[in-house]
Amino acid sequence: MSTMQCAPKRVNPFTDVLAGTSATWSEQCEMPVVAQFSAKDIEIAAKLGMIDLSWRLRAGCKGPGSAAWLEAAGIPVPGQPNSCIQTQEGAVIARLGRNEFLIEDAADAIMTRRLNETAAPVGAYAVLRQDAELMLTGSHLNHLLLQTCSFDFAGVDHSMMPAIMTTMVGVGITAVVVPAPRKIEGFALRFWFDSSYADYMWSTLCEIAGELDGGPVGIAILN
Amino acid sequence: MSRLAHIPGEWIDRTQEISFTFEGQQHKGFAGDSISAALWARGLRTLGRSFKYHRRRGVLSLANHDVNTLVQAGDRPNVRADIEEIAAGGSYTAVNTHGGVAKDRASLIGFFSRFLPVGFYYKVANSRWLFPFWEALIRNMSGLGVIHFDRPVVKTAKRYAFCDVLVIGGGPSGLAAALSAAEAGASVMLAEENPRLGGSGFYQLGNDPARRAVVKSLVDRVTSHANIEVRLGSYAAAYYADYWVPLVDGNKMIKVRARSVIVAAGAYEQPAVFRNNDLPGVMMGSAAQRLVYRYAVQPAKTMVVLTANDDGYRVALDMIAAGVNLAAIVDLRAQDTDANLLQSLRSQGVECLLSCCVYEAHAGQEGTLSGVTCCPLNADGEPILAQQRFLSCDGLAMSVGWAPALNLLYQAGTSMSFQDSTQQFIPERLPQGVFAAGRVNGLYALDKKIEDGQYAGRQAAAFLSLSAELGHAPAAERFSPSHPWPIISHPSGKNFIDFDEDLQLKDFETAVLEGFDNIELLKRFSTNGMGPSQGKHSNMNALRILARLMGKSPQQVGTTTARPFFHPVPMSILAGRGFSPDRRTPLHARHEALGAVWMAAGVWQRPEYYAKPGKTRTECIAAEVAAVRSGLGLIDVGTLGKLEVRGPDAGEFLERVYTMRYAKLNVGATRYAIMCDESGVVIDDGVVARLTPELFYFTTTTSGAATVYRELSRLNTIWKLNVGLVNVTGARSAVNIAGARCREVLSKLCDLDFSIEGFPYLAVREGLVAGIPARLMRVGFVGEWSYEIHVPAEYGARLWDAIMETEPSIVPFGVEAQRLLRLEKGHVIVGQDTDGLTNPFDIGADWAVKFDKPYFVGKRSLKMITEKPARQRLIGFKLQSGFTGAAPQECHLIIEAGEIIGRITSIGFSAAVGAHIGLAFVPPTHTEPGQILSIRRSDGSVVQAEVVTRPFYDPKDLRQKEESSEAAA
Repeated sequence: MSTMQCAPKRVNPFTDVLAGTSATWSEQCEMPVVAQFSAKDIEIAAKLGMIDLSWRLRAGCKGPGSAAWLEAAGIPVPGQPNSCIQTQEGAVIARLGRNEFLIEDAADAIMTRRLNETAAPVGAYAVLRQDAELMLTGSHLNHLLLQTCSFDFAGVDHSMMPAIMTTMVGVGITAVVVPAPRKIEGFALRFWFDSSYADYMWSTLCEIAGELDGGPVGIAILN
Repeated sequence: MSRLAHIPGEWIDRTQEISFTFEGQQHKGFAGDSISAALWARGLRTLGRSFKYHRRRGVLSLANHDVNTLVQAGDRPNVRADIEEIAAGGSYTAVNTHGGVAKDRASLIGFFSRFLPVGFYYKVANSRWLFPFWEALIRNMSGLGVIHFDRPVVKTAKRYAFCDVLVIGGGPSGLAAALSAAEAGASVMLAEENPRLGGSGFYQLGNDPARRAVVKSLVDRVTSHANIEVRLGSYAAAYYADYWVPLVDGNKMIKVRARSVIVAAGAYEQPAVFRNNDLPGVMMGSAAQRLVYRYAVQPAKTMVVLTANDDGYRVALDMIAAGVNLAAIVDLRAQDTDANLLQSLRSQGVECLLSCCVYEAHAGQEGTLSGVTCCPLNADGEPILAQQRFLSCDGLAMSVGWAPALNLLYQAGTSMSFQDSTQQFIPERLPQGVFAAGRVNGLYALDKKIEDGQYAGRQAAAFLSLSAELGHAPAAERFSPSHPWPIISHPSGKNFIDFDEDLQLKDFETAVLEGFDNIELLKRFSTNGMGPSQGKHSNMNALRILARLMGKSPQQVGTTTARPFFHPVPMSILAGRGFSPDRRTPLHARHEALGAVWMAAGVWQRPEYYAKPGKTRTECIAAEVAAVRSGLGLIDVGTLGKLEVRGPDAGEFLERVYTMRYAKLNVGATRYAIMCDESGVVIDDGVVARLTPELFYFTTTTSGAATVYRELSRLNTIWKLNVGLVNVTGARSAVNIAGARCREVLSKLCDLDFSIEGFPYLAVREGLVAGIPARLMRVGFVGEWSYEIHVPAEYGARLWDAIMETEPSIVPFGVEAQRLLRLEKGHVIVGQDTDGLTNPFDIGADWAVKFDKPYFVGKRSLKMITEKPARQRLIGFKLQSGFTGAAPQECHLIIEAGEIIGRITSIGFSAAVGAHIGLAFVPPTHTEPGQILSIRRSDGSVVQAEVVTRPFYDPKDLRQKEESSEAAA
C-alpha cells in the first residue's frame, strides 16, 4: 500500500476566476495568492481596491463554552455579540452571536494554533471555516457599498468594531470596518463569505469597481 | 413664434440654441426647453394623437402626465414630450399615428365611436367567431412607441441611500419641511421630480414677485444647508414597509432607507369636463403658468380662464403679465372668490363671469381651439342653454380643482377621509414615522403650505427624538380649492374624463347602468385610470360621477387601490444591474477542462454530463453509466447540503426531525433519512452519519440545504434542546467514487481499513485521504460499491486530482448519469419523484416511518394518512424491450378510459436492463407487477408499459457484497 500523508497546498477560492491574469503570485500560509496585479496597485487601492485575504488561517467555534475556550487559549474575547477585536498583528476575533466566534490569524498563524492545541471545554466545539475573504479600500469604497449592499456602513461607529452580518450582491457576508492598510487613507472593509460564491463575488465586484476606477490589488500593498 | 422676453427663473438657456426635428420637420429651441414647450413656442398646437379616437392633442398639464404627447426619440419609445428636454440633433416622432400627427388617417375611428362603447374590449371577446377579427384589428391599431430590440443593453446600476428624513416633493411645503427637520439635526434627503426646486412656488404667482421671493429664499436655504441632500430629477415611485422608498431618476433607481418620511407631493390639477375639452389649446391653468415661467412661452394669443378657485384668478393675472389677451374669466362659483383678486382683474378690464360654465369648445380649421361657448348656471348647476355666448379664443386655461398626490401615503397604509370643505381626501391617520405636508393635507395657500411643511419637519424630528417642540398645524383652508362638480353634460358627448383612454362622460353612465357600480369594477370595465397617467387626471372626476349616479358621497364610493409603482418606471431601470448569485464547487475548473455541459441545480452549477467529441449527449451519458457499472466513476457531490448537529441532545434532535431513529445509531454508522413537514409531505432526504456520541454529520438535497438549516434552527428555537447546528455546505467539498475497484484506488491514498468488516456498507470513517482530513461514507445510491469523501473545501481540487492521478482510467460522470444509475436501483429523488403532496407511503418508504417514536415532525398527519385509503403509489415500469420511437418523458400522463390516473416522474433507457425504465405515480389498484399502463405522449399517441418490481438492477444488492464486487473487479 502506498499512501500519501503529506498535507497538500491549500487552493485559493479565487484561483479559477484569476486564471489567465498576468498577476504576480506568491504564497501565504500554504495558499497561493496574488502579490501584485500591476504596478498601479497602490494607485488603484487608493480609489477602490479589492484585496484577497482568503489565504489567512481561520477557525470557528460555537456553543455555550466557546468563550471559555478562547479564554483558555489566551485569545481575547469580544464582549458583545456582533462585535470584533483586531489585534496589533492584524488578527481578528469576531463574535458572531452570543456563542459563536470566528478567529482569523494574521500571517503569524498563532491564534488558530493555540485554539487547536487547547482542549475544548464542555459545550464548545470547533466549526470548520473555509471562507473566502476580501478587503475593500479607497476613497470610492462607499460608492461601491451603496450599489451592492443594503446596509448603511456610513452610519457605523467604527470605534466599536461591529461585526456586521448582511448581504452583498445577494450573498451573505460578515463584515468589519477596520483601519485601511498604512499605504492607504481612511477605512477599509474586510468581509467573509461562503467560498462557493467566490467566482460570482469577484466578477461582480470587479465589474462595479471598474466603473468606479477601482479593481483588484495584490497583497503586497499590505506590507 | 410665441417666445416671451426673459422671465426671472426661466429654465431655458437662451445662449444655447438647439436644432431638432419633429415629424421630420426642422425646429429650433433653447437648451432647457421640453419638446412640447419648444414646439409650442414654434406655434405648433397638435403635438400628438389620442389613444383610441386619434383626436388631436396638445399641452394639457406639462407636468409629466401628458400621455397623449408621447414621442419616439430614436430608439427610445414613449418619451414624455411635456418634460423631456430637447437634445441637439434630436429626432422626435409622435407615437400611435397612421400617416403622421398632422394627418392621422386613424382619426376616422372617431366617426365610428358609437360602435365602440365602453367595455368594448370585453364585449368583442364574447364572440368566438368575431374575436380573431377584432383581435387582429385591435393589435394592429393599438400600441404606442416602437421597441428597438437591437438597442444596446445598458446595465443601470441600482444603489442604496440612507437618511434620517426623506422629504418627497421640493415645493414650498417640502422645502419648509426639509429645513425644519434639518435644523433639528436630522440628515435630510429631499427628492424633487423636476430638475429644479420650488415647485408651484415659482409659477403660481398671480404676477406677484413677493410670492416668488419667499420661495426663492427657501430654496437658497435648503441648497446651502449642510444636513440636506437634494436629489433633483428623482421621483419617489413607491412606498414600501419600514420607510423604504425607491427614487427613480433618468438613469437608475435609488433605494432609500429612511428613518422617517414626509410626503409633500402636492396635487394634480384636474380638468373640467365639457364637450371638446381635449382640443389643442385647452390646458390646465398650471400648464399655462409653466409655459410662461419655466419656458418663457406665451400659451395663446387670446385666452379664457375657466376656474372655480383662487388659483384660476392668479392664472389670469399671470397670463395678462405674459401679454395674453384675456377674453374673460369664467367662474363656476357664484361666491367664495377672493375679493382682492376679483377686484384686481376687474380693474384691468377683465370680464369676470360668475356662476357660469364653458359648455362647449370649438375647433377651427386647423382642428385646434378657436373659441368656447359659455352658459350661466342655474341653481341646480345646470347650464342655461338659452343664454349661450361665444367667446373667441385660441387658449383656455382650466383651474377648477385638484387631486392630491396621495398615492405614496396610501401605499404607506394611511387611512383617508373625504373632506367636504376642500373636496378632497386627506390623511386621517398616518402610520408612525410618516408625515404629510401641504396640498396632500388640503392646504393650498402659500403661507399655509410653508407653515404645514415646518410642522411636518418638526413632527419628523420629534419622532426621531431630535426635538421635542411640535407647535401647531395650520388652520384649514377657508374656501375649497376644488369644485364638487366641474362636469357639464352634452348631448353630443366628447366631454372627456380620461384623456389616456378617450373615456367620455357617457361611458361612465353606461358602465354604471351595466352594473359596474363599484369603483374598482368601474375602473376595470371602463379602463379609467389604466393608461400611462394612471388616472391622475381622471380618477377624481370618475369618483364624483359614480358617487352622483349611485347617490353616495365620495367617502362612501372610496378610491381604487394605490399600488406601486404610481408612475411608470422604465423596464431598464427596474431590471437594473442583475445580482443573481451562482455557486460553484471547488471542482468547477476541473469539470470545465473535462468538457462539462452545465446545468443549474438550485443556485449551483453542476455538470450535466461531459461532452466528448463526436458523441451525442445520450451517448456520452450512456458511456458514463457504463463506466460506473463496469469500471470506476467519479462524481462531484459537493453541492449536497452538509450539516452538523452537536451536543448531548443531538440524537434526540434528529429523532424529532426525521422519520427514522437516530438516538441509538452506532458511532461510525450512517442511516438514510427522510424529512417531512407537519402535513406529512416529504420535503427532503439525505444520509445521517454519527461521528461521535455527540456529533452527527448529515447531508440534505442540493436545493434543500439552506431551507433545511433554517427550518432546523427554527425548530430548535422552539424545542430548546442542548444542541448546536452548523451549516458546512460551502465549507466542505465532496466526491463520490463508485465502482467495483474503488477500494483499490482509495487504498493507495488512505490508510483506512477498507475491508468489509473494517468499513461495512453504510459505515462512516474519518481519516486522511491523500493527506487531506476526510470523512468517508460508504453509500449505495448509484448501485455500486462506492464512497462519498467529504473534505475541507480548500482541498477539494487536490482530492480530485489525487484520485484522477492515482487511477487515470476513472471516468467522471455527471448528474444525468447519476440519475439513471439511481433509477436502475429504483431510488427516489426528492423533488423529482415527489411533489408538494407526496408522503412517505406514496413512494414506498413505509419502512422509514417509525411511529413508535414519541414524536417527529409530521407524525400526527402521517398517522391520519394511514387511516385513509391510499391515493397513489410510486411504481416501477418498463417499456417493451424492443421499443423504438420517441420514448415518453417525465410528466407524461398515464391514462385509463380517457381519464388521467397517474404520471411519470422518472424515465430513461437502461442498458443494464435493456429497456426504458421509469417510475410513475399510479392508483393503488395499478401496482401489481405485470399490469399494463397506457402512457400518453405529447403528440397524443399512447405507449404501453408494464408494471415491474423495483429495483430494476441488482435486486439482491449483490454489488454491495464482497464476492460480487471482487468478481466484477
